Amino acid sequence: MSDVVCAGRRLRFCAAAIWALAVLTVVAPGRASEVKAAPDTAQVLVITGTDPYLPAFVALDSAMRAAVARNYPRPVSWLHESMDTTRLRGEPGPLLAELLARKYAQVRIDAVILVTEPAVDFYFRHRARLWPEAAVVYHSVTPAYTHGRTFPAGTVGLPLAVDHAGTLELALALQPGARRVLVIAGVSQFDEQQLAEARPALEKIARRMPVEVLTGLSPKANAERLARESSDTIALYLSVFRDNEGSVHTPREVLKTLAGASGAPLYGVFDSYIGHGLAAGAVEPFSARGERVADLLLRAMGGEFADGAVIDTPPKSRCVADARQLLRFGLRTQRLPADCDVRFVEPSLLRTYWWQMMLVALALVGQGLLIAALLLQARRRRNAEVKLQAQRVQLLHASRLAVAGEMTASIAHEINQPLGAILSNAEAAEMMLQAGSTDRAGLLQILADIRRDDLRASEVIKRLRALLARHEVERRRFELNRAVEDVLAILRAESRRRETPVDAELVAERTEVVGDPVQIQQVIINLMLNAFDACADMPAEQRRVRIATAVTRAGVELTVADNGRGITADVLPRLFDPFFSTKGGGMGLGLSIARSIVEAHGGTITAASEGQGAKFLVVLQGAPPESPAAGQAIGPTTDRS
Amino acid sequence: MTARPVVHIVDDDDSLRSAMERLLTAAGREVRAYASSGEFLLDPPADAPGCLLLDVRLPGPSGLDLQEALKRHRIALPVIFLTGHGDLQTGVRAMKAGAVDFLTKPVERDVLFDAVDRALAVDAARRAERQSASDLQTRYAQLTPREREVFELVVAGQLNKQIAGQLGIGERTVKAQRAQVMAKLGAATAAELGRIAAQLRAST
Repeated sequence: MSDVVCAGRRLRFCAAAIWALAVLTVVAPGRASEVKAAPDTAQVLVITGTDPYLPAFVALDSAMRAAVARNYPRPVSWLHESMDTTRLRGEPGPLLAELLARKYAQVRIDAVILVTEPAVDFYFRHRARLWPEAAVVYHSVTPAYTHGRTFPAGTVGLPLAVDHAGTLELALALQPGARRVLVIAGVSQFDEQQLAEARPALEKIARRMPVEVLTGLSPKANAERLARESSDTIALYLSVFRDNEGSVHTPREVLKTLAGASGAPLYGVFDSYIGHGLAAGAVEPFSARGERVADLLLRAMGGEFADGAVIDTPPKSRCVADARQLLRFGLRTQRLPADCDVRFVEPSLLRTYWWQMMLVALALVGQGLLIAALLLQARRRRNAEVKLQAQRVQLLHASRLAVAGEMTASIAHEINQPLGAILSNAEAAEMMLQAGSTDRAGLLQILADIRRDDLRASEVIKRLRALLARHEVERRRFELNRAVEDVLAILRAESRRRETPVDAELVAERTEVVGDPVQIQQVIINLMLNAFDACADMPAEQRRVRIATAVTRAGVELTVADNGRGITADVLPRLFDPFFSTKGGGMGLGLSIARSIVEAHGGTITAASEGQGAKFLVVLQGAPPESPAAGQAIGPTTDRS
Repeated sequence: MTARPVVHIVDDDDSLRSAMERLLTAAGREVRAYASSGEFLLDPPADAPGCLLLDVRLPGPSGLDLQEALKRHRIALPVIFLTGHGDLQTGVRAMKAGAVDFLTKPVERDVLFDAVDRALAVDAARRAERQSASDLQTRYAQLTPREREVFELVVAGQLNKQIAGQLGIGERTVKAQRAQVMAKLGAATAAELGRIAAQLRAST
C-alpha cells in the first residue's frame, strides 16, 4: 500500500480506500476459490453507491434475488461491493477500480448492477479497467441524471420514479379542505432538478389554490415558517441539499427537522423520506423496482441490449403513508386509496399477535358456544326432568288413590265405627234427657265419648288426606318408625277385613332417614297390601304378615314378610318390572312404583322367597348426623322437646 | 211371666259398644256387652229371652263364625248383624245363615230399635213355640200305653169301630180311652188331635 498517495483534500476518501482494501484483502482469496468451484454459475456483482443496508435497498435486493431465482435457469452467485458515499464522501477514483480489478482477477463477472449515481459514475469511468464484457444494469438514479447523458452500449438503466402529481393528489385526498400549497426546495443542482420535475404538477394545482415555493431557506427558517402553518396547508418537501447560506444538508435530516416543527402535513416523492416525517407520498415501491431490475438483468445477460443503451421507464408510483403522521394531523386513513401502504401503524395487539389473538378468540367463541350448548342442554334436561318429575308425582298420586280405592271397605269401617258411636251416644243422651234423667255424670261421660270419637274419625281422615292429597315432593328428616306406625294405623281395618294379623317389630333405636315421608309410606302400604294378597289363599288362622325395622351398617332397613304362597324363582327377577303382575286384577305397578321411590331416595329394595312366604327388604340411607344448623332448618321433624 | 229379654252386644269397638249399650239401656232394654266372640262364648247366656247384636268383623272368630257356633251350641238367639261397611256378600251369607237383620253402621236409633224389637219378637215366638211343644210332650207322657195306641190310630184317621177291632177291645172302651186322650192332651176335636200329633212329631 506504499503506492497509495493521499492528498490533503482527499484525505477522507483516502482513509476509506485504505479501509476497504484492508477488508477486501482479508476476504478475497476465500471468495475467489469458492466462485471458481462452480463454473456453471452466473456471477453478478452489485455495486451500491450508498449504504447498501438502507431499508429501501435491502427490500429491493431481496425482491430482485427472489425474481432472478424464479426466472433464471442457472444458479446465480451474488457479489457485493459498497462505496457507501453517504458516509464516505468524495470520488473513489482509480484506486477503488484497481482494488476491484485485483480482487476479482480470478472471477468471471457476467453482469454488473450499479445502484445510484456514484456507482454509475464510478463504473463507467473505469469500465475498461474492470469488466468491459459484462452486461450492465443501473438503477435508482434520478430521472434528471439520465437527461442529456449518453450511456455506453450494452447497458440498461432504470431511473427513480418521481411522481409529484400523484403525491399532490394524495395530499388533496387527505386534506380536501386544503387552501394552499407550500413547496420546500433547496438550491443545489439536485434540488433544482427536483423543483424542475415538480413544476408541471405544481402548475396544475396552482389553478385551484395558491402555491408558494420556499427556495433555499435554511432548515431553521423553513421550520419556523412551517410552524405557523395549519392543516389548511399542503407542504410538499422536495429536497434541500444546500440552502442560500451555502450550508450543505442531508435532505432526510432536514425533513426530520421540518416535520418536528410543522403545523402542516408534509408530502414527498421518495420512499426514503417515508418514516422520517412525511405524512404520505406517491413513491416507487422498492419490491416492484427489485423485480423490474431482475427482469432487466436477465434480459441484459441474454444480450438484449448489446447494441445500444436503453433507459427504462420506472414502475408506477404507489401510495405510501406514515400512520403516525396521519394521526398527528388528524388525517383519515380511509381517505387514502385502498391499496395504499400505510406504514408505522401503531402495532395493535391484534396486528402483533393476530394468530394468537385469533386462536384465543376462536377458543373463546368455541367456549361460548360450548357453554351455550351445555346451558341449553342443561335447560332442556331440567325441563324434561321437571316434566318427568311431575309425571312421576302424578303417577304416585294416582297409585295412592288406587290403593285407597282398594281399601275403601276398611276405610269406611274405620270412619263409620266412630260415627256410629257418636250417633248412638247422642241418641242415648237425647232419650235420657227426654225421660227426665238426672244422671249428670252419665250424660257428661256420653259427651266426652262423643268428642273422643269425633276426634278419632277426623284422625282417620287426616291420615288419609295426608296420604292422598296431592303434595309437593318433600325432602326432610323423618323417623321411619313413625312412617311405619302411621301406615299400620291406616291398615289396621284392612288387616282385620282381610283377617290377616300384622306383627310389627320396630327397632327401639332412632330410624331417621331423609326423604319424602308420604312416598315412603306409599312404599310400605304397597308392600303390606302385597303381603296381604299373598296370604289371601292361606287359611285364615295361618295368615301372618310381619313388618320390622332395623338399623344396620347398610342403613335403616325395613322388612315386610308374609307367610303366603311365596314367589317362584322365575318370577323373582321380573318382580319389580312395571306392568308385571301375578295377581288377577293387578296393574303390576305397585312394586315398580315402590322401587322407583326407594331408588329416588338413594336406597335399594330386594325381594327373597324361601319356599313358603316372601320377604321384601328396603334399605334406606340413614340421615347424616345432624349439625346444629341443619337441625334448625329441618325443624319439627326432630323431636328434641 | 219369664225374665226380661236381654240384648247381647258383641263388638270389639269399645266406644261403639258402650254407646249402643247406653242407647238400648236408655230405651229400657236389658243389655249385656262383650268385646269378642270368645268373651261371649265363655259366658253364654242361660236359656233366656233375648237377641244378639253382632259385629261382622271381629278379631279372632268373626261374627259369622260365632253365628255358626251358636247353632252348634243350640243357643237359639236371633242375630242382628252390624257392619261398618255394608258389603253385600257378607250380608247374603249372614241372612242365609239365619240372621234376622243386617244393619250398616252408623245405625239410626229407630232402625236399631225396630230391628231389636223384631228380633225379640222372633225370639218370643220361637220361645212360645218351644214352650207349647214341651207342654205337649209332658201331657203326652201322661198317656198310658193303650191310650197312646188309641191316639196314634185316631190321628191315623181310624174310626172307633176299626180301632176296637184292631186292638181287640170293645168299642165302648175305645170311646172312653179316646175321651181320656183328648182330655190329657187338651184337645177338643179330632182335628185338634191331628195338629197336636204333628207338633209332637216335629219336636221329637
